[in-house]
Amino acid sequence: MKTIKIFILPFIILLSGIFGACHKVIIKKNEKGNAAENFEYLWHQIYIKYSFFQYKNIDWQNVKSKYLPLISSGMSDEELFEACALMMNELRDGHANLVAPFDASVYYPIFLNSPTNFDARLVLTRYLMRHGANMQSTGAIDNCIIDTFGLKIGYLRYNSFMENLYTEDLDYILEKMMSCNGLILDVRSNGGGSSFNVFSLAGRFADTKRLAFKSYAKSGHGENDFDQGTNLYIQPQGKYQFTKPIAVLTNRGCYSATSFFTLAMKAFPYVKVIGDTTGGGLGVPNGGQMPNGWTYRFSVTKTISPDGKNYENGIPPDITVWMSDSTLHPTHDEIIERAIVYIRDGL
Amino acid sequence: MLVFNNVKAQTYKTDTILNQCFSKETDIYFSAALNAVYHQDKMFSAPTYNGLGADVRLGFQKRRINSISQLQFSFGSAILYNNLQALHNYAQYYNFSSIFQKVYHINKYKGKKNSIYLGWQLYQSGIFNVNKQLQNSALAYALYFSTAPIFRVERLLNLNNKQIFFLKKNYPLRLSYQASFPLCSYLSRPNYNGISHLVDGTGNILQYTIVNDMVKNFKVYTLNRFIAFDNKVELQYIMKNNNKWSLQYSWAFQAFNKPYYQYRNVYSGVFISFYGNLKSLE
Repeated sequence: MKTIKIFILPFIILLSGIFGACHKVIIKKNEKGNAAENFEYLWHQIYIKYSFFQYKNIDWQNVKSKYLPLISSGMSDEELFEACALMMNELRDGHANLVAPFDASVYYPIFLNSPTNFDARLVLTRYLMRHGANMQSTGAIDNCIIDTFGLKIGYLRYNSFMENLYTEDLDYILEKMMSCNGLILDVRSNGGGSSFNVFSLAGRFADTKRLAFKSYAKSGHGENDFDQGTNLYIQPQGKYQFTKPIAVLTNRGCYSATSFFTLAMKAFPYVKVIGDTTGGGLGVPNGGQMPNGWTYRFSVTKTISPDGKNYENGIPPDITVWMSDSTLHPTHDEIIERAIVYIRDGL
Repeated sequence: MLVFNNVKAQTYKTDTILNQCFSKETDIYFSAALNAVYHQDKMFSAPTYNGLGADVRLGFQKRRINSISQLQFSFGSAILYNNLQALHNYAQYYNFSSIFQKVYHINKYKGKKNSIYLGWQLYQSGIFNVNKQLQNSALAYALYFSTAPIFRVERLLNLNNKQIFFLKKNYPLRLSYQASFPLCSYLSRPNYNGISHLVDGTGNILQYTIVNDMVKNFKVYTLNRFIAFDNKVELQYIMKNNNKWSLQYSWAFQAFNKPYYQYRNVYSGVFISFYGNLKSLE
């Protein structure tokens, strides 16, 4: 035992100490870094990964020149956050966000600089709750059947792609709607969410497998360094697929997953997009973390439609309709009414 | 007693124990450990995360006069934090690994106190770091296969005729130290942005699955890009029935330095293992 005491234990303790301390050499201890280091880190990450510099004609070097003078060593975290957020807003991208413990930045102008083209109370009172419509809230989707012009028109309202869609719920709704002459899918002011929901919902309206769009991801730090691209398809899903006339209602509040859904639905010849141009947001955002622990995200892919167009700034509708915004107490929703006409007349 | 000549066999009351356990040993072993992990994945996150976790191992070891062969599978996990954010912003760390190694006894002659071995190792490791606040880039991984030379040294010690705690007198202890240093690795890291959530529309199959990325992004790297080091010190207590208990301290690091894909990982763990001998009485 004397041998053990003399040799083994000190040996183990020594090794433990040596190697236990080695991590400090190999991995540096976290330091928040100064304002300039954090600003530079964020700027550089965007510089090497953002996917729309060319499409949006943004000179990121110029943006740095514009905001670097705002950075000083004595500035507060709040001031640094504001400078970084302003810089990210130069991307004009709703997917470009900065998150600190005390604040989160959002680029609002896409939605705020456009007419609302949606009135939730009007939709609820005038359509969903109208006499005989038999409104139901099935999972994430409010739905009813509107009986008008001798037609039965299904109305589906989906507020957010953040809310998961379940097979059983969609089966129930589609079974109920199969006898309808047409369908209105109202995704106005749906700000997006999970792309899984895009495909599970759009697949319920697919007659056959069709190319929806093509996605290209940044693969290097050059502005045009993208991978070879991947085709994304919509194919029939679930027990029932509704393939009669369908109107998808959109406005500028349709962003991200909702724009993906809108673009996917345009692949079907019996679908018309009615309302206003969507907000866009067809670049999938990544995620990252600055030296001071704040997190950020911005778009790192681009999406191209089957006809080769980039709709990052919004998907235009097939039939443009704006709601009259001067009425304090509107009696009808012009966009829904136009969708009814489309289902009735096919025009 | 040729191999373990550094043991004063006359101090043991029963030479049979030594003969049984040192001439042929085939063990199955199970280990449990507490670990400490330091991880920095520079692809997505500037801060270093560190924390504590646990490991389990299952292995087979065949010991002969000339060589020791070992096959080992292990799984570990840890919860990692950084000192910059609130505790709910943690990352989950997982490590799967399997090792096959063989070392050859190179100083089998009498009079040497230490038994020295040299050999080689095939090593597979998968490190998965899930940091949910990074959203679409939440899952980062480093998967690699490597070949490494091994240096191992062993020394048998005795307890003389004293009983120390649960360690009974007359039973030997084996102290070993082993180090390996991969020279060539076949390594895979996530795609440039770590995006792993898109669906392709056909049955919600992920477009960028981990498996797709892993297969697509595997490349061979040598010491200019990937440096790793793995070493451990182990103390085995060999019982009469030739089963063993062991206490092991293991320390390893990896540093991958390819621009835009860097990561660093430092791991240490204290293992308690039980070796069940299968063939000592052949």
